[in-house]
Amino acid sequence: MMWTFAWQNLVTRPSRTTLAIIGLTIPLLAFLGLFSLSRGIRDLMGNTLTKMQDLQVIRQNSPSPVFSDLPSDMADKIRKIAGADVVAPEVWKISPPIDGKGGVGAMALGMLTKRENSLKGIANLVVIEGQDLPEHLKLKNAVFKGTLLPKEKGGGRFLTLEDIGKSNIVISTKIARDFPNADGSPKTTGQTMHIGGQEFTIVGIYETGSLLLDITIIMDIGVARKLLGVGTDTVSSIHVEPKTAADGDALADRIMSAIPGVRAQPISQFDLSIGAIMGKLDLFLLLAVTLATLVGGVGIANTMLMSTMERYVEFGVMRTNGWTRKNILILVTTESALLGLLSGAIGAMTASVLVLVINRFLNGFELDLSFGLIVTSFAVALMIATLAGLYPAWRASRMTPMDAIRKSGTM
Amino acid sequence: MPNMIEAIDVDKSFLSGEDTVEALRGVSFTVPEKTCTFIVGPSGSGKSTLLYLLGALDRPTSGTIRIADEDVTAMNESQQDVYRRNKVGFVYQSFNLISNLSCLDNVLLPYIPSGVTSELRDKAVELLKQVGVGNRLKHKPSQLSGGQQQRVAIARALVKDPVVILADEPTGNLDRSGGDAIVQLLRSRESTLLVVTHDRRFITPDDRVLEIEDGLLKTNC
Ligand SMILES: Nc1ncnc2c1ncn2[C@@H]1O[C@H](COP(=O)(O)OP(=O)(O)O)[C@@H](O)[C@H]1O
Ligand SMILES: [Mg+2]
Repeated sequence: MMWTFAWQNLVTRPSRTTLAIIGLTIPLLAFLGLFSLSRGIRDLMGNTLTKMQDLQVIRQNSPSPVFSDLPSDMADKIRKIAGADVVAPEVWKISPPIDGKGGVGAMALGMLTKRENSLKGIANLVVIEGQDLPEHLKLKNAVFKGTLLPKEKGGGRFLTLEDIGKSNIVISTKIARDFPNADGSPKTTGQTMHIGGQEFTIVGIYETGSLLLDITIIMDIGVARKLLGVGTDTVSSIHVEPKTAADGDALADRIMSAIPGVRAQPISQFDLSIGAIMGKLDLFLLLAVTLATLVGGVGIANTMLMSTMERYVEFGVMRTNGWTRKNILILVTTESALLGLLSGAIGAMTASVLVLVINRFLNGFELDLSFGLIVTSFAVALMIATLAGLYPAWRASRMTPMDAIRKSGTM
Repeated sequence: MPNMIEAIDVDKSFLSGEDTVEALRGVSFTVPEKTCTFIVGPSGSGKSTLLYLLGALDRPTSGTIRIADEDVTAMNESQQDVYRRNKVGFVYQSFNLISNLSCLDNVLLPYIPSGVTSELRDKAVELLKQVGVGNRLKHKPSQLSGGQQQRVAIARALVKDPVVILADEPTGNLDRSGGDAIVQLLRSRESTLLVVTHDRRFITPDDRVLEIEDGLLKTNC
């Protein structure tokens, strides 16, 4: 009965109630939107590389190995630099069409036809990594080897020295899904894939969880050269493992001073710098959103204060009918808590719908609105609104019934 | 007849800025149960103050008020709450219905915090029928005439079967015939009734009259 009464008190002043709710819903939406964006970015990066102290050497101004080329003999130069342990050259290129789909050509064609297709094309981009297997197998911190699915889940095996010169590949679960069998089931080990018209056998399947990495098909460097048309005199990048992990940064400096025109950086750095930026971003977002939420709370306090002052006489009448101070306190607090619940519900629903709609237009990147985020925003709304209602409620409960009744004009 | 109300040497003063207003000065009287008493006097003489003290809306500065053998002036706050919920029915000049509640819920107001049972609901409906607004249960107060609103207010005062009904100028906002009907309705109850009024035409020879002037009880006839 208290709840229905409180509810009635809100619905009989619809515009004021709506405004108070909007005032709290907007910061909640901002909270949910910004944090699902931040989570989305994190998902994209994954955490795979975070612990990697190994270095990646690429040409100085290349954004990524795919667009880098280095002379093959650079590997020997790096081996001579003190502190370098394993030096593993690799070839990276965007994949030619797979099973007749995708590839650079298809991408370009897609861009010419439909915007949506071009987005899909970018999302379905696949790159080939050709590994110098004798060297790569010596790495203690290989990027993909450790993320192979377990045997019982169809992970198969990683490449071995046996695979040199053979058309065997290791692919990600994403690629297995994106290029399925005729019946729609994902590819499994033992099955084949046509890359650039050539037949390859899948021997292993990995999953790093990073959308930036899970687009890679791994094969022997020699096979990759033939497939991609890369001569033996060039490589894309060189994976360098330092003798001691702590020496990583110093080794990078030594490499860059010994060999001009290259960039050597920890593989983790990309992830780390993103992580640091995201951490700062989160803090900033939290600050901004907290301020906005407080403003929303002040709006609710103001609304409740106005509505309790208007009802001063009515509270007096309730007191003359046996309502206790506590009853009045509960009524007013219930009203403001209801405002919080409504704001929370509307915020959560609007955010869910918006994220669904926005994600339909995004490809490869998704806003990540977690259940935890929704629950948090709900709790915050409820808490802020309840707290905001406490002062008005306390004031309403403290008036003396006699004064209130006199205000009604029966003096 | 046993006394329902017993007031002994009641003083009430208010602080109004620097000044002290003595609203009641040494007021003593008794009211036997199931009688009708009119409180008359000029404006500002202390009539409302007396009525509110009887209803435990405030405490006297000094003196004792006993109602149904209970010392109202010695009650703590929660005892006052219980007393107001169960023993006194108030009727005001400006009706004072809760605007967001239907007529029926207004009558049930004392029971909203503790919970409204179906017996209470039936009783409230029955009372609204008795006071002549049985066809306005779901209406909001603003949809009713002044006379109808005052009837709802009377039903609200009656729903708790009060030992005393305290009415502060209940006809003040009503026209002549409307006022007559309301006083008649209040009189029809087997309850101890105190009515503050400006209008002496309601007073019959059987009624008791307390005449107050400047906080002093003039006559007790
Ligand atoms: N809260 C208060 N503060 C100051 N003075 C008050 C207060 N309440 C009542 N009074 C004064 O007490 C006197 C009696 O008031 P009241 O009982 O309302 O008179 P009546 O009902 O007979 O018109 C008046 O002078 C009034 O101004
Ligand atoms: Mg008065």
